[in-house]
Parts: sequence; C-alpha cells; structure tokens
Amino acid sequence: MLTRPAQLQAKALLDQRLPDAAGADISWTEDAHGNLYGWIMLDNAPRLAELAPAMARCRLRLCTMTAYDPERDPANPQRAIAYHFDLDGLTLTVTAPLSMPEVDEDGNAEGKPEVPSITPWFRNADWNEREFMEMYDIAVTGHPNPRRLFLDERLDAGIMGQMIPLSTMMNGASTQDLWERIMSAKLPEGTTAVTASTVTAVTDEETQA
Amino acid sequence: MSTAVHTPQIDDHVNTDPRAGFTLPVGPLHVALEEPMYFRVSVEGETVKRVDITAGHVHRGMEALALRRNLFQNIVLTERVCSLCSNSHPFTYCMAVENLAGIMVPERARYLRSMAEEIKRIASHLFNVAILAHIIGFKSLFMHVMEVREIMQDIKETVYGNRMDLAANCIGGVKYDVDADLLTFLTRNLDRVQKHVEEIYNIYRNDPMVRGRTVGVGMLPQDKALEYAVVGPVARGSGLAVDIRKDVPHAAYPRLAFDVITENGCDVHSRAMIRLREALESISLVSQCARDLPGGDLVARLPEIPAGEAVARSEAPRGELIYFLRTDGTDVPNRLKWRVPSYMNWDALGVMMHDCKVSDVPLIVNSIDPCISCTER
Repeated sequence: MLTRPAQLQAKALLDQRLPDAAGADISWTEDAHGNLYGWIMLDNAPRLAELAPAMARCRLRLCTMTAYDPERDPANPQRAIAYHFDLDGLTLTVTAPLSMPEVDEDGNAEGKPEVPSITPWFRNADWNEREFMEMYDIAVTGHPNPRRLFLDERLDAGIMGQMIPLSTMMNGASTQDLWERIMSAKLPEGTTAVTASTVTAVTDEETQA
Repeated sequence: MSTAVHTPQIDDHVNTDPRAGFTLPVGPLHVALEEPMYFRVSVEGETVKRVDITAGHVHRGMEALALRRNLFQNIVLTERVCSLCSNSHPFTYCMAVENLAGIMVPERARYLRSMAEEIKRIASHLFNVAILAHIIGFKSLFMHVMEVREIMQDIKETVYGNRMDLAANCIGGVKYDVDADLLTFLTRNLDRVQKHVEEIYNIYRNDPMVRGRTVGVGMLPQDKALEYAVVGPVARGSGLAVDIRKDVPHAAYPRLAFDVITENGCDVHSRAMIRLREALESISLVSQCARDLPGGDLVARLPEIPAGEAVARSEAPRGELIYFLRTDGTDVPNRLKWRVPSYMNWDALGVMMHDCKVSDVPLIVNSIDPCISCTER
C-alpha cells in the first residue's frame, strides 16, 4: 500500500534535521499499509539533551516512553528508554541506553541510572518520566515534579522487576510459617498449633496403627 | 511492603471564611466519579485555582503481568485493561505483533476488525454523553441515552456473545465472523440507533439546560491542546484534526469514507458534540463494512515471531492508543508497553479547571472521558 504523502514529507524533514543532533542515522521500516517507522539508537542518554530541542523544532509530538531492561538478566540489570514520537502519522522511536552505576562488593548499586528530563521541550513528558522513575528506579535529572505517579511512597522504587502475590499486597493471607507463629503466640504454652503438617503426621500415625 | 493507601486530609490552615483559600478533596471514591481518583482542588470561594491529581488506586501491574504471559495469552490480558475500550487494546496489540513479524491480515478480517472497533466507539461515546446529562441533573436525558446505548449493547451481545469484552481479535486476524442474518440484524438496529442519535444530537446541540452548563466550561484553547499533546475528542474539540484512522491507515480504514470531526468551541459542549457526531460517523462506517465485506479467510498463517521491536497505533474511542512490543525470539515478550489516550489528557485538566466553579469539576473531568483503569494499568 502507498505511503501517505504527509508521512513521506515528515521522513524527508527528519532525515535532514535529526542525524547530526542524534549522532546517528535514522533507520526506517514500513508496515503492510505503508506507514513509516523511524528508529534511532543513541550512544548514550545525555545525548537526549541535544536531540530533544531538534525534535521539538521539527514539531514532533511525544506519544509515550518505554523504559525496559534489554536483557532481563537479574544478575546483570540494564536499562534503556525508548521515546516514541509522531509527526503527521509517521512514528519515530529514539532509544537511549542508560549507564548503570557501579556495584560495591556487597552487591549494592552506588546510585541510580540517570537520564535528562525532556520536559523543557515536551511538556507531556512529565507523567511518562515520573512513571519510569518509580517503576524502573531511574533518576531523571531536571524533572519539574519528581513525585510518585501511581505507586505509594512506601513501596520500593524499581518494583517492576518484582512479582508480589496479590494476597501479600492485600495483607490478607499468610505463609505457613507466619500462621504457625501467630497461632503459637495465641495458644497456651505447650499447645501445638494445628497445621496441615500436624494433621498429616496424625493421619500417618493413625494409618500405621 | 504495604498496599497503596491514600487518605486525603484537609489542610491545617482550613478557614471557614469563604473568601480565604480552601483545599477540597474530591475522591478517591466520589459519587461523581466512576473510578477512584483523588483530586486535591484548591479553591477561593467557589472558584478553582489549582488541581493536583493523585493516581494509582487502580494500578494492577498489568505490564509486569504481560511479561509473564506468552503472546497469545496477552491478547486476553490486554482486553481486560478496561471494558469501555476493551476492543482497542487487543486490536492494537495484535497489530504490533503483526507489524513485528510482517504478518498480512486477510482483507475480510480487516473489515471485521474495523466493524468491531466502530461498534465499540458508538457505545462508548453514548455512555459518555449520557453521564454528562446525569452530572448536570438532566436525568430523563441520561436515561434516554442509556436506553439507546442498550441497542448497541444488544448488538454486541448478539454478534460477539458479550456486552463489553468482544474477544474479536487474534494475531493475524479475527475470531468471529458474520453471516447474512447477523448482517441484517446489525444494519436494521443501526438504522434504529441512527434515528435516536440524530434526535439526541439536536437536544445536546440546542437544549438551554445542556448549553447553559457546558458552553464556555472547561476551556482548552488550541495552543494549550498542542502544548499538552492531548488526543482524541479532547484534541478535536479544540480544533485539532488528529485521528489515527486517517493519519496512520490500518485495518479497513483506507477503504472507508469518513470525515475527521472537529469543533472549535474548546469546551465541554464541543467535546460532547464531537462524540455524538462521531457516533453518527461510526454508524456509517459499520454500514459500509457490512455492505462491502469481502469474502476470504479470517486469519493469516502465522510465522514464528522473530526477535525485534514494533509499534502500532489505533484510534480508540478516547483517542490515540499506542503499543510498543519487544520480542527476543521466544513466545514471551521482552517488553510490552501501552499508552492509552486518557494518559495524555489528564494533565490538561489543570488548564480546563482553572477559574472554573467547584460544581463544574465533575463535568470537566467527564468531558475528557477519562478511563482510569486504562491510565494506570
């Protein structure tokens, strides 16, 4: 299917204006309907501060941002952020890899991965940056409103990588160990709390008898 | 680790003198709100000076869940982000997979996808304008619009088996088909809906009670609409002709005739007019799909999904919906991200509510047709 003229004009503009600021060429793909998708891979995150004003001058509209771990290896966490823009129907994705902080001998990171805020040029970056700050524990320098967006302050940042059972989050269920400790605290001294394992042991004794 | 609980507090400097500043908590649970959201509204007398929004009450960690499900299971997951725009999510998600893998969706399936999307749009828009009537106290109009919407709900139940979650889409095509009887049922009921929507449109356009509460309320000038990058009927109500169905052709839209609806009032009334006019446009689109539906397969043969990344966009009832997918060659995504239209529109409430009256707060919030489930995932 033929690409819309507006997208072709947008492509020509971006090819002319962005590669110098990005320090990288734009690679292009197309879907079955002829819609154009541009992809820029930056060398580093601070480059965004040079590229963002050039993109704003091109009248690009910020659609959203995606923070992610490219490798999803818990032993070696990485961070990258993909910024998705629109210009007259063309979609441009700019990916910035983040430098990870050094890790001390106890395995604790000394600081957080950092990225400059693009809110000076794209006002609607505000919520997007707040979201990945809390989900992926990324520091955004120069953000005008660095408050939590969806998660309560008492929750750890970077929680996107953890899986917490709903019952635990709702404080409604307990582990076997917790159940036994609670019941033991309530029962008179010397009494054993009835648990599944206790029932099983009694049943086995009855069976053997 | 505790649950996210927010208890709104009245500020210590509360003063009973109505001329002094006062902070009014609205929500997270409120009779005017369908979903929980906390608005901290700073007022001087009855005039709103500032709005702070605290979200997160419906955050379910769905993007994290998506990374623990395979590409097929995520069709089911994404449909459950929200019920009002439930079709848009799996529709756009499937397009992202298809864009990544180069899958060509059969022609018949493209028409059926557009048909499902437009049927949802009509019902969603009618719901929003009905709630507007409810908020301004025009109860009979609210009931009338909801009754008309019930015709669309019946259509959905008959064609798809469900009033809200249609389960219409799959990777490479659709999971449903229509025969001559269903098409007759569909077109006959669309004719009924069209007559009612035309009548409802005239009421909303001209009724003094509706106009008195909505014209000039919740102003979002066009330059602010551009600055905040709002989308959907909110953008089009401020004169911006942004519509993904035209700007990023997909499904059957390149072959269907329709206009991008805009209004220049920039207010609550304009956004309601946009939705009613779009409902009429969508009736035409569904009729065109029913009339021109080609024969052929419902789903493409699926290749192995390679490692890569892709973006897909669609025009959900609330505006632009964007999906970003990264795969690593396995059947579980490396990353699945989606940004819903409501996400872009919340921030603009600060502009729309500036210097409005407290009683207009629920009206203005409703005018952006917010979907909190979508926003927070």
